Amino acid sequence: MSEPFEEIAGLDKLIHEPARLAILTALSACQQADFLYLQRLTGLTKGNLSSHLSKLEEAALVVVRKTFEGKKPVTYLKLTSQGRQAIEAHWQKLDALRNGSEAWDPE
Amino acid sequence: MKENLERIRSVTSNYNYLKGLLSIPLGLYFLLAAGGIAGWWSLFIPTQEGYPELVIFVALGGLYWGLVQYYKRTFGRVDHSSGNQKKVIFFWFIAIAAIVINNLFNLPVFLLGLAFAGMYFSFYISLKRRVHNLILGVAIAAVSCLPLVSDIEPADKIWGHMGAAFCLVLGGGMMIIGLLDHWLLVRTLPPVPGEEATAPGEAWSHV
Repeated sequence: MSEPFEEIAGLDKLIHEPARLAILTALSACQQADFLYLQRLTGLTKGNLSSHLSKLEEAALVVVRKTFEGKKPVTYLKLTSQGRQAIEAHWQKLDALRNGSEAWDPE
Repeated sequence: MKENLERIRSVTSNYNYLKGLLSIPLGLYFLLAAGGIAGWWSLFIPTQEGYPELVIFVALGGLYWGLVQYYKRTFGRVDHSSGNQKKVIFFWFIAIAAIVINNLFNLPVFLLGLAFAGMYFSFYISLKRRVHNLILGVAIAAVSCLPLVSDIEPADKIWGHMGAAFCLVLGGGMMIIGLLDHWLLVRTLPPVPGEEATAPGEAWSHV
């Protein structure tokens, strides 16, 4: 395999999974967001979104904070500093891959 | 894929601006103020029924609060850094300064209107160049420069035809832009799906 394609295979699968990439991208654009917003944004079911968030929390990329506003439970998500660095690095890799694949010459 | 993720980032960054229905109560207030300044109704004069402007403030405040709850319960919450709040404070400082300067120096243009026009130009630049912000900014700037091309007296600037025209354009524009921004939010954030399984990676492709 040539270099750009080897690098594609080497992408962090935890971050690159489409739903988790969408979650991390959204959280990188704010200080924190609640569960409902992420559910509306991604179109995932509650169970599916919870599963993805658990994986991200286990990897210390996001922090989950459960609280009450009045009597209503609200779950807030925010990136950890590690998570913010990871998603920024992932974006830079994707940009480099795109540039590399455009410049790639099969000859 | 990158375009979809850019849109996710953009909607999230600008979420609080896209809650467009929140502009409706404030837009209504400016429209009512335009009518009061123009003398179509006596907003600021107590009547036998009481103080109508107080009732209007309370009603519009209640409408605003209801819309805040609607957005929280329907679309969720997004918090940004205090940078956005500082921008809002800075703008209101500019607006108050504009009113004071206009009154002190009898300028040939309506400075408060130009401040609002500048705000909408900044929205056009920062919010993915949504053109309706540019259109409203230009309209407000044009109204604010009316004294240059008409016989509007300086004393009329806030409480006469100048103020009425400014409030009319601003109020109507805020309501239209609010509806357009809300429509974008609704298009971008479809309803929460049911609890049946959704294939990973496919559900967010609508963004």
